[in-house]
Amino acid sequence: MHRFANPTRFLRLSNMLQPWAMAMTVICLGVGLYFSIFVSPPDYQQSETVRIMYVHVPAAWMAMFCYTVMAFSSAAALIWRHLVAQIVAKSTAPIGATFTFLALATGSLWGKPMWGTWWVWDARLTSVLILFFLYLGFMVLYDAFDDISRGARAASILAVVGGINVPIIKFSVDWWNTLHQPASIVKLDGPAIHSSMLVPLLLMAIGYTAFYIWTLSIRVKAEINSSKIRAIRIRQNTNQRPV
Amino acid sequence: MNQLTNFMSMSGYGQFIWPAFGISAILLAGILIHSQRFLRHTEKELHTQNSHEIKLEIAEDINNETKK
Repeated sequence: MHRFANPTRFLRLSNMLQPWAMAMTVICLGVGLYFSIFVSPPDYQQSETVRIMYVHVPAAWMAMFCYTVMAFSSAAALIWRHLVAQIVAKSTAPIGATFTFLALATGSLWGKPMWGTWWVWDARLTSVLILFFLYLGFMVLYDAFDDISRGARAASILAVVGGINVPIIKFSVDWWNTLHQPASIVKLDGPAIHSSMLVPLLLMAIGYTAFYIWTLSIRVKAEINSSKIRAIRIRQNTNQRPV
Repeated sequence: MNQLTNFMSMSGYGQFIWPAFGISAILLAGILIHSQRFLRHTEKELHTQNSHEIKLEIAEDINNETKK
């Protein structure tokens, strides 16, 4: 991992990955959407609304996955002061926040016809809402200080401490009573879902993951450029002192 | 036409299903476009900064030459 602490090397890796991630996104989401909307059957209990699952579940998985990436890279940034880890954490935040918002919004659109309500204050929904605020808090803190490194440090500490929320989200449906159904895919005894629904769901999930890698590689490149621009500015300011 | 209306209504749940797919498409496209714009902006900025740097260096070189 330490090899990729070097921005140039990391850029080379992300440039190599980017076209593959882009192709995977387009193919998986294209085929996945076709299967989700046209091929997969309606559920025997939930009828057609089960199709919302194909955009809701991958978004919720990515919301937690992105947060995990952000928390671990923030920890790496705090411990080893890796510039790349810091940049990965910063670049992941807006993408993860988008996925979290989508999980909440599509969940709400699924909840209304199936539960009869847009929202309930139960453990699963509340902990995901907290996840959304953690992402927003991270982004706000990052830019809250004149000294960028202080903002980055404060945001990283928030990301690491907030990491406790991820297992709470995962197990909330087992620990507390809720309207939300328990896990049916990631289970010890295998997924409890028919392949006609599992295949499109997995395609969408792979597509969402590839989308994250694609967008992340763009943002990381932009952030590395920004830090170069800042370095040049600082150098110019020190060079241009009156003689 | 009837077939399309039937399909769009999704057994009466179309009003929930289509917005769910729609908002997903819009927000994901949004964050992608935002990221690409951000990258393009930094590339342009870096380009002007770099050419400014080079000009400064050339000016310094000329300065040094004339001093000799």
